[in-house]
Amino acid sequence: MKKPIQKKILWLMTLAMVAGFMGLGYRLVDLQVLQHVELGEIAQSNTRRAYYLAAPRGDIRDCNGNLLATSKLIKTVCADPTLICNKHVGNRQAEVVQVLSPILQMSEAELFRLIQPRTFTNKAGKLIPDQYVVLKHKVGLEDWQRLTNAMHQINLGMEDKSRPVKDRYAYQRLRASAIFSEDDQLRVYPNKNRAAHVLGYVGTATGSQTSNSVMAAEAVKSGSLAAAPEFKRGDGDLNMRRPVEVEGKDGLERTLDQALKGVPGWRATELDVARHELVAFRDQDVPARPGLTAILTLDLGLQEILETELAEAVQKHTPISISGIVVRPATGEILAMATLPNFDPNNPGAFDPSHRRNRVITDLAEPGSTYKIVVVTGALNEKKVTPGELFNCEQGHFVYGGRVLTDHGRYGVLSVEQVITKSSNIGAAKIGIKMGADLLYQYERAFGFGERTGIELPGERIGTVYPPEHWTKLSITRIPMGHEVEVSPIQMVMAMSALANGGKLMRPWIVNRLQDESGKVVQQYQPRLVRQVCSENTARQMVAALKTVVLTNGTANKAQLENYVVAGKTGTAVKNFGGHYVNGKYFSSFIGFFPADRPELCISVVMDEPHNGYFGGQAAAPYFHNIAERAAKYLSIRPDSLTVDIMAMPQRTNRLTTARSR
Amino acid sequence: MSQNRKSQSAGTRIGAMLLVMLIILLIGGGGVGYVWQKNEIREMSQKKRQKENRLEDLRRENKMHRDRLDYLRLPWVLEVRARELNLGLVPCPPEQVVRLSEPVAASTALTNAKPGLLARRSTPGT
Repeated sequence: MKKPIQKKILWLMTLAMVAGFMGLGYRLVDLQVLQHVELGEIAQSNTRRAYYLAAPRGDIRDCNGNLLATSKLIKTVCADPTLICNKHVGNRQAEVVQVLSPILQMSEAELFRLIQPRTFTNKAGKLIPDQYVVLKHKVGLEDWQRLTNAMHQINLGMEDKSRPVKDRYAYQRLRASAIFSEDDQLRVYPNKNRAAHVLGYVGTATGSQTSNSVMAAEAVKSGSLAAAPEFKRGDGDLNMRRPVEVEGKDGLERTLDQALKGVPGWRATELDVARHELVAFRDQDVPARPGLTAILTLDLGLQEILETELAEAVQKHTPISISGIVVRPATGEILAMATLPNFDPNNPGAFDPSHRRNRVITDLAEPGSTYKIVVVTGALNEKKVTPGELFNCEQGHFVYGGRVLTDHGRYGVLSVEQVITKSSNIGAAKIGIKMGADLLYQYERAFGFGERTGIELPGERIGTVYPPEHWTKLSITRIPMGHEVEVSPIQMVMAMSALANGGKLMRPWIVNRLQDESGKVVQQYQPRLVRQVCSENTARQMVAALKTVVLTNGTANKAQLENYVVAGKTGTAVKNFGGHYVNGKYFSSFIGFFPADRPELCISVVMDEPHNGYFGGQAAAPYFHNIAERAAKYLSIRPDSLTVDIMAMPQRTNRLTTARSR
Repeated sequence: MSQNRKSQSAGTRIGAMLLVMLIILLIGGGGVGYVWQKNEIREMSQKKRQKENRLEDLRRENKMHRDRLDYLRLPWVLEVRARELNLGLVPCPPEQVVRLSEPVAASTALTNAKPGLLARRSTPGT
């Protein structure tokens, strides 16, 4: 028999146990049901992480595979101030700053300012300590390695085992995690100024999310990342901290931005208490898709030739600017394109904005006599004139519409071909009058003036070509000699290329193909015919006339080549400021192609206000000659005609002699 | 009842014991297996992570070496290098160039070829 006291004790113990279990049960319900959402978020915030996987930006290469632009992996160094200054480790800013300052090459004061503990208010209105501060962008991998080692070796005298575990743990975290990094990319242009205007440059992205960013945001909204408060620190809907993205700001970097930048991936995963990833708990793992590599039609060798020759011209003639283009007329491929002054795309901000402008496509000017090809081609094609038809050039003094039109020489009667040879303004004006305004306008548009050529570079301007209803009485005599119109150098060179190409106007193109990392071609671009401007016969007649320009009695005998027949046209236009022509300021140009009867290259040289000679034949033609000579050697273009001194061959002293076809 | 208990054979008791032991073994084995499996998953996760890191490092190094090679192959870099090494490399003078007149058939074919395609064509990029 149990005693009553024993029964009482038993009852009391039972009661206490029941009460204890009820308390535990309540706590269980409280934690698992009542506070489930809040505590679940905290638990997940301690373990779950999501981050972007940056996509490397694609390279840009020339037609021979030479590197023109690439991306280098660098780091953005960040800090978590809560690990540097807290109740366990105390305030360790001074020690950390001493380590960081020499490696990051930043002042201690600046670093102190950056790693000050601070808070921000989250969406729920709670004050949250800031755990993410960017210390420096564009830190090299070597510096980052040095920084990591230095942080691991930092000694704060807290390794004493008598110290509480929490303190020692906080100390470990300070050394391992207080300074961390994010992957970043630096765009590198190894050839510096070469082809700078074609390549363009990059800058920090200012806006739009990538497609994967949007997908990631959707995943966060709908899926497993929904309850992760850690991700709510980021921007907008994405809930992930976005990496610093770059985007093309000019040139091909801008045009091809979507293809070059690739698609960033993302990873949602869990970390253990030591911040090591628990790979088994990876939720989402979408790899980044690297950007495509762009292979251009540009040839670095030709670009080098073009730019060095233009630099020579700048030395001699000190123009405001000079532009040059090398085109393959049959296809419209741009083999080289340059404008001086230029800039270094590695550091575009260090240059004047005007140096960053690609004048080949943006600068408009009255072209002068190179434009005579339009009126003469049109008149020949419409059978309004024949190459041998004679025009009285009035001894260089022609009165029309109450104004006098002059030539630079006192020419009498000239044939149509000689009008081109001598570049007679009066002859061109009379051909224009005979042709009529409507037809002249029609041919201006047919040659592509007043519209974009379609080259894959941003900022191309269409120029100004007025329709006949807006013409003045004098326009019919001024337009044929390249006045009252504004054209860009690219439009002019493509018009000349059309004549070289049997009357076929091609679209200029500079991107040959896009390929992925493995070299698989993703997109191949092809030559595109814009229109047939004139018949092949007319084009042949024009080529015959243009060949005479470089003869001794033409305006550009300095453009002659030793081994090739050249066809081309000079241009010397008085500059127009606000409707007034200013004597002494000229645009000088020469556009030519060779070999004239089977053209391989069409080259344009345009100078803005040259000194020490301003006629196109004096200023621009010699540089056409130099560029063409070097380009022909570089490309091994077959000379027009050869005779070989067979007898001299055994002595290996045979000399090349040429016989011109004309 | 006591008579029934007394009448139970030893074989029956051993069977029950075995059954209990089997259940204990199963439960215990399951527990140990679970822990072992978790441990394996953890170790494999770590290995996977290490290999991913290694792969990433190798890719990074590969890219660095490729970029370096591309840089060293650039025409102007080669030119500077040739000048530095003072190899005496210069363009060949005209008297060293032997030009052969082309056979008539080939010459005609070249003349009739599509213009713009005679010059050296670009080679595919890497």
